Amino acid sequence: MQETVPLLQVEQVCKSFGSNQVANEISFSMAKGEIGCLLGPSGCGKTTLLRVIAGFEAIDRGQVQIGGKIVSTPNLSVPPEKRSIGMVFQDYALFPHLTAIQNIEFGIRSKAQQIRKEKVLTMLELVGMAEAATKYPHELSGGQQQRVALARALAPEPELLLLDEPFSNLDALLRDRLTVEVRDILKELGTTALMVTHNQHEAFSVADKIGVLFYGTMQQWGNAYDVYHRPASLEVATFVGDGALVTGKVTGPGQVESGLGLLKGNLSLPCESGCEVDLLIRPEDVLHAEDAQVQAKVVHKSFRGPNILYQLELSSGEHCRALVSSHHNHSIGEYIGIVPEVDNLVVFPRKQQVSP
Amino acid sequence: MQRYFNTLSIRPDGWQLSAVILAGLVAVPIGVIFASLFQPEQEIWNHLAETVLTTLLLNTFWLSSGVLLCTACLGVSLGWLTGACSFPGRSFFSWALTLPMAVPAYVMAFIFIGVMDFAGPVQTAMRTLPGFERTIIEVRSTPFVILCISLTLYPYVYLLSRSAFLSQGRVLIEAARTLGMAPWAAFWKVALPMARPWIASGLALVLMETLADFGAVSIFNYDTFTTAIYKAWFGFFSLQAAAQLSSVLVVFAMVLVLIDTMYRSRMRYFSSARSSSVHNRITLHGGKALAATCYCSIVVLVAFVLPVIQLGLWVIKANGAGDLPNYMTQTGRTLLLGAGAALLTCSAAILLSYTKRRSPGTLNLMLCKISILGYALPGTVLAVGIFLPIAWFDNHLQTLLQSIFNMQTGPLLQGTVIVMLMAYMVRFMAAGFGAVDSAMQSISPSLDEAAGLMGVKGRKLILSIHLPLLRKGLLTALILLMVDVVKEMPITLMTRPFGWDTLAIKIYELTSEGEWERAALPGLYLVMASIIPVVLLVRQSEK
Repeated sequence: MQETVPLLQVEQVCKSFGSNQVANEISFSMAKGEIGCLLGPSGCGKTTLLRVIAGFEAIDRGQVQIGGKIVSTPNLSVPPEKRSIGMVFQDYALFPHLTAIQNIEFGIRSKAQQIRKEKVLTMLELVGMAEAATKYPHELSGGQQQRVALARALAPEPELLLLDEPFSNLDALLRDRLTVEVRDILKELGTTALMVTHNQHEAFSVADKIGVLFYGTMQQWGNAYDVYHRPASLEVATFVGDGALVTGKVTGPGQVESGLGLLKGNLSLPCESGCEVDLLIRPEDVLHAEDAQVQAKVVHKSFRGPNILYQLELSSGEHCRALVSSHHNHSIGEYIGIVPEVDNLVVFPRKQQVSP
Repeated sequence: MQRYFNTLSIRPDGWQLSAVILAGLVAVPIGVIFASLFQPEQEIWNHLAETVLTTLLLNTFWLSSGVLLCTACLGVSLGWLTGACSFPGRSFFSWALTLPMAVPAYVMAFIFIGVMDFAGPVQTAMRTLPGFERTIIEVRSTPFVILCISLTLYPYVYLLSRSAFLSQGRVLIEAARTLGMAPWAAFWKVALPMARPWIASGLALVLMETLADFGAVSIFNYDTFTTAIYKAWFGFFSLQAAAQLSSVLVVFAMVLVLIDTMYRSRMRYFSSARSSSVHNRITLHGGKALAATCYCSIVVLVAFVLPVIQLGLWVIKANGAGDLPNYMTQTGRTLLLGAGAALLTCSAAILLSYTKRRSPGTLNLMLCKISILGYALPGTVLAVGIFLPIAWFDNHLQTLLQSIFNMQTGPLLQGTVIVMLMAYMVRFMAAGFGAVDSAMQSISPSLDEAAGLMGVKGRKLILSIHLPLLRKGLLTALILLMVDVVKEMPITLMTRPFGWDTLAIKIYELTSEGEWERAALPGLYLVMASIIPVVLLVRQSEK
């Protein structure tokens, strides 16, 4: 084979529980060493998809390949233990009757003792848990349990590591630190990994590729930049980031007239003149200038230290957000001048026009 | 110093004082028996060693190990099938398998013997078969005692291991599988080791009951410590020998309590409370499903359905002539005794639980723990342990009264219902306290504070807030206790006023004369009464 085979390939997978379709024609693939992330609100089917790849759920249509081998089709399902996968569970699922070492050893129990010992030590070192080796899970803190769970999943050197909301049980500070650590560890080992989360910051800081799922449908599969700046659907645009939608009308090539004035840039969709659109405005696209033409009323503000996120009401009655340096402290009800600076005009056809 | 007193929470008040008295009531019999362990009477032991001791130890050993093995196999396999698998009839069997708990071991024993004896229907039928004309099965033998007792006790292991397998959820098994383990291997390496605390605790209960059993082994003429204690006292009138024999059992019992407590405290680490995800059952297909259904059906059939049918047949046969009113007196007494003991024990349980609630200091917690120890004491041992101090008290009181008032009184407490009620209370406090205390704990302390802010305190608080909220728990406790007391045989037999028969005593008397058919009616009464707590238990576990 000339081309490198993708390590994970999911092709048109469909899965439903009764009448509830939780995966609809889902396709994506990951190269060896990539870290992927399935992002979506709860109930979007992302965990089910992960469990399909792990082999815990059968599929109705489509197929899944891991390392070039077909592991799931509607008629065939290779059992999880034969898929060469590792998994980190949401509640870690450490075996409560085994110590940290014994938990890590569990997946490599068939190896020779010497190899086992070395591997366990390497793994403990890698996740920085050497001092807690002989403790039982209930004696470990949440973050420590998380590390042991990661070490246990990585010890058998799986081709693919699956992580199910691995950071959701941790407090915010620890979460930020661990996401970076986990990414470093995975990259160091060159492990291919697929993570499920509802938290976009986690997804941005860990993943090479992000898949956004809504109602069992893969809305977009791409890198963080694309998902944020070139959202493929209205759902992705509103779910990712603090963006707001304002109505607009295309007045010419690369021109949109809106409540923020006339905006010029690259249109994300080829729209004809006169086309009614929804325009995505990111808070960082709206700059603050005292003497600007467009004036907007502050209706809400939240102080974030270096900057303030203002919720603004435009003269059209629509709302948008602006991220402004916290030196510019304005009170609610005040009018401030804003300058939109949007290079990429992310537009979606208005709903009313789609239907006829 | 001040701090020391604070941690012990010594604040003299009425609640604590009564808790001390209650704990004392439990501690005295245990203490008395323990004391006799440290004052070995050489002569008695020599005599025992020459005559019965070897047999007793061997019998007890074989019985205990046999019952442990049988109940472990039955209980764990059934618990796993209904807790972790899916097969036709599973939800029916998950409660039907607890029904054998409603058959007291001694009722099971006389049904066993009645059916399997040389003259019974099974062996008579067998002898008509060619080649079996001269075969004789000795039903009064170790394997049959073990089987009989195991069939009534396996539900302890079953219920506990089932809840262990249920609480494990699917995640840990899935984790094992992502680590390269096949489902069956995952059961042995993960599910079973994690269920160990539950299984061990269930087995400890089984062993306690086995050591305490008096009725079944005496029907089988199988000598164990409990029957020996009874014979020593009522056969040879040697209370000392009875006490010496009892001391051996007390040691066993206390070791079992320790084991039970140790494993129970470990349970919370072993249940994955957070994995609330739906339980993924292993679906059995075809032959395996059929085998599972058959296996469960056979157990329910042999351990409950057939025995009850046999009782019914005997009742019809023996009591067709209207024998029913004959048991009116005994039934009345049994119920009266049960109600009295249940009320007494329940009040004591409220008292203890309340003391603990008011000030949960080290001392009060300890008092509660001591007060419930009676559950591990075999009835025979408890009877001896209570009788000794009562006799001592009576003697001294008598001497005192005589020397002061020159009064000639008989024994005041010996052979009265009061002693009986006290013995029941000591023995069954754990059941009552468990039910009351869990109800008490579900009343949030902030309710007390809220009521306090509105000026409701003390007795008013108890009457207007606590009792209404405790009502359900109290009712459960009363029913549980009543059934326990009604079934209880050795305590009743050994502490009752002369000629005071209850249903259990009637069964003992009739079965010692081999009158299985006439014993069937009181037996059926007892089984019917015992179904009530089983149903309660099942309903509770389904919530």
